[in-house]
Amino acid sequence: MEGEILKGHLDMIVLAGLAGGPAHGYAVIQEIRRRSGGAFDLPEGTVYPALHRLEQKGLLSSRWTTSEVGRQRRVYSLTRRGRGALADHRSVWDRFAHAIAGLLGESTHATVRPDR
Amino acid sequence: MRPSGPIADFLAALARELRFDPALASRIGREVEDHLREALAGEPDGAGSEAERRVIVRFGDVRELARALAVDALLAQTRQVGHLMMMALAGVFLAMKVRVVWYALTHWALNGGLKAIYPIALVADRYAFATALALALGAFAFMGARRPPADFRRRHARKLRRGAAVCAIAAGALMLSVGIDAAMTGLRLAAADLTLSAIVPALTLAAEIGFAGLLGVNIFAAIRRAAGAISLLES
Repeated sequence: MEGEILKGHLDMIVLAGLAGGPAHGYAVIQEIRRRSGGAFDLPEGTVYPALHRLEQKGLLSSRWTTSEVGRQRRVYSLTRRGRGALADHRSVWDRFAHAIAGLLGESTHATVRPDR
Repeated sequence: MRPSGPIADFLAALARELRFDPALASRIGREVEDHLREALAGEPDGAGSEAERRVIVRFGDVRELARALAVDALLAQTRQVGHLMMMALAGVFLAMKVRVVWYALTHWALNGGLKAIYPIALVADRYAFATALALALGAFAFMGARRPPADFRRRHARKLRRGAAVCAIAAGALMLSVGIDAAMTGLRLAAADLTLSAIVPALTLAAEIGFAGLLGVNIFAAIRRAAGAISLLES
């Protein structure tokens, strides 16, 4: 999928990637890839500015943990505000997708109108 | 011994790009290292240099990551300086008012020499404080309300530099105001008997100097960090 389109919705995508529970950056990008069926194939580093930005906005919280191999790991989770923001995004996106589907459907009918 | 290999080089390059903000560089460095090492562990052919390179290619360009982080770091820094400036102005104002009320309550009159210069000092103090307040509010509204655009442009860098200059002038005006207070309070205390009643002016003056000093140090550090971030974004 077009990178520029994805970047415009990155915050929503990252919030959705954390909807299943707390996760670190690598797990978030894997979850995004898995749930999008591989369609959202962003450079993996793109997720970090979004995670930091969402944390600054109070939509995510984070804490250091230790991974099973002893590395320091930053784990992010949705805050209550973050869950609310994700629900808002979902509702706006549903309306938008519905409207676009209708619009494109109509335009397809118009362009394939048979000659008189 | 310094670790070597493509991942170590990538992390070193990231730290160099983010040197304008050591705290951010340290945090993101540890996060990215964890990410890259975990991705490497999932590579089918183990942990060789080729596998490290593939992991880095999937991760993306180091400079792009640093630039994206710099945009948000600038915004956070701008807000932090704005809040600190408001807190310092409020603190200095409160300390000044407490001292004035204390002078009135204790009937602390001025002696002859001070009486002559007090009106001039008072006007200078008020103008300096009002200037600091007006400039701080202006800078806060100008910089705090704007998010740096993702595609950072020179025009925005110019705006940020102007905003930083306004903050520095506001801090200078506040320091002038505190300096005048310090001189006047010092002369009052020197001319009076040092009794318990001198504690309140001394403490409020110390608080003023503390607020102004904290603001000055933070603004200087913020301007230095912002200059580093802007130069990364402009490169």
